[in-house]
Amino acid sequence: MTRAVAAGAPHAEEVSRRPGTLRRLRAPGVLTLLSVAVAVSAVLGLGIGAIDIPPGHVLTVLADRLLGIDTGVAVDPQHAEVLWAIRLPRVILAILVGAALGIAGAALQGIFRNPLADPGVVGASAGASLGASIAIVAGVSVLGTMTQPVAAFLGALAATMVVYLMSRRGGRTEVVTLLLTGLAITAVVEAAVGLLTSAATDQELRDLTFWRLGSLGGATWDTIAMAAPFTLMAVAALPFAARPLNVLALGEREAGHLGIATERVRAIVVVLAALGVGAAVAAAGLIAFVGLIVPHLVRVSAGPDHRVVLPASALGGAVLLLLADLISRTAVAPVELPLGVITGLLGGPFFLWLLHRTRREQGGWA
Amino acid sequence: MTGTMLHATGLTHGFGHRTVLDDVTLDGAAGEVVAIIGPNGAGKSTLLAALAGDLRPAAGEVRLLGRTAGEWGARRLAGIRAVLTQQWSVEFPFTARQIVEMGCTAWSGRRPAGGVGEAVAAALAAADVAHLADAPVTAMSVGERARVGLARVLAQDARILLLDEPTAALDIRHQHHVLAVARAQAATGRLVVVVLHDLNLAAAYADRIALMVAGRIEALGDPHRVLTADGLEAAFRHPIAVAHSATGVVTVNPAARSAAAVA
Repeated sequence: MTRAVAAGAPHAEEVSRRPGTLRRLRAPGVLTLLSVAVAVSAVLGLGIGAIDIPPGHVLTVLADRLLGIDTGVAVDPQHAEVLWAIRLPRVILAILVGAALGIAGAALQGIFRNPLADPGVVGASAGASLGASIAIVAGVSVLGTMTQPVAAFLGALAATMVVYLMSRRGGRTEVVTLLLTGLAITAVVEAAVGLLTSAATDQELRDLTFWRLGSLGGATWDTIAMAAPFTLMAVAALPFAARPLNVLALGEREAGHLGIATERVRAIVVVLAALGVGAAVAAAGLIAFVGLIVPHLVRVSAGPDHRVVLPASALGGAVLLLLADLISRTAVAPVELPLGVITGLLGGPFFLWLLHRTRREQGGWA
Repeated sequence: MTGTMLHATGLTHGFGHRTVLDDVTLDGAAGEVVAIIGPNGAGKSTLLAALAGDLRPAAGEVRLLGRTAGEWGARRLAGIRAVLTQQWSVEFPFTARQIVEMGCTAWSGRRPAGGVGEAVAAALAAADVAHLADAPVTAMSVGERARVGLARVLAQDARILLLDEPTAALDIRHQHHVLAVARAQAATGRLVVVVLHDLNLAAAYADRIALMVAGRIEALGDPHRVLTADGLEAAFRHPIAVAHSATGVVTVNPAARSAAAVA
């Protein structure tokens, strides 16, 4: 039998291109940094507004009301009331919604194997708003305060499944088909929401307008009670899918060869992401681009490992929404800008830059 | 070297009206390199997908170490067979090291003796990509990425290796290097089934060659028996000359039509 004489490993002499090898922050560093950023943004969000409350007073009230610790610092009772009844629910909701959108974006991008698969792009947000709108206009309230988030979840799930099934072939998501399918689904859903508006009463109309622009203005402790279970479920459970999502980056067939139950991972991740997005949209309306920008920035700074990307995207989403909400309340006070306007203004140009950079580096996604 | 590791019988499959596998029967034993050759569209990749358990053929069955893919289950199957697909791609900038580490996720519970880090380093070195360990695969050339894929497959430490055209994007040195790695894997008692387009590589490295034409295995056996001018001309519909060197190496070359009859 013939066996070619094989020398040892050929000496590696070719030089590989390594563009943009960014200095990677260590994963714990990124997570710590983002956790601190969440805390700082939250204190800023609690302190700044129509009435400015110094950070020391903010912490005093929190210590008093949450932990029962009396720090001895005298705080204006009116300030304490503003903080507790208005600002704190709003800040907590910003954290919940931002975290849910950020982690859902990162997880959907992992499942679609595509960095463009933001909840807005894949139709999840639009589906959620349709679900919630139907619940409002039809006056369904079988599940009490949970009706809207559940309806939004079902809408998000349905839209995501349609886009997912239509934009994939042979285990790969075609970028053009993904974007166009998302576009088509969003158009259909918006038309349906438009139809609903014509059948809506004045109060319902106000509620519907709210979905389209996105705002944390309606945040109360009730809103939080409604959104918290679903968003926290998504934020707590999705990181457990990190390792399968990493392997899935190799391709579905390849992940299967490595023993990953791709069908099951996909189903679980899509349901969890839809839960998070549904609750976020039900509580705060359509907030664009959070799920796109945040995971991307995390990958640039900490690498693509989902064990970091998922929790860091949750933290980063919370920071982004806290700051965006702060801007929306204070930029042209006393008028409040819709949150969707702020994230759109930030996200749109960012999206263009992302497209430009990707084209320059790898000739685009097509 | 304990006999048959792979046993495929009567594999038949079609896509629409087209038959891609037509009653294919193939065995593979420990310590063997089996090459699958044939013209484009002959069903080579489909056969490999069936062997891997990706494709459930309409008829026939594949047994790996005595059991079907269904009997093994995805996780345990990953512990005994590794697959290098022809076109795999990564959308996120994972480094070569991270990609190869993913090969280790197949170890259902079992850990390599020297730990994951050592297994990954060994696989990177074996595939000649150690110098690219920390480079993102998205920035690599097709050939470099192909070798990272090979490293990932080696890290899986499976007893059966199924490689679909591992040399397609490689320069001549790395083509030979990859097949030398395949030989070395076989020498440790593994079975390597490899789809190849380069007939000379098949001649040089395979113990047995399966020549596929239109979904059928037309010839199966050692290189001398399968690589004949007549058989290859009929299969590839192109004039082909086969030469035997004094050292026993078979070489295959395209021939002028007039010379074909002589060769």
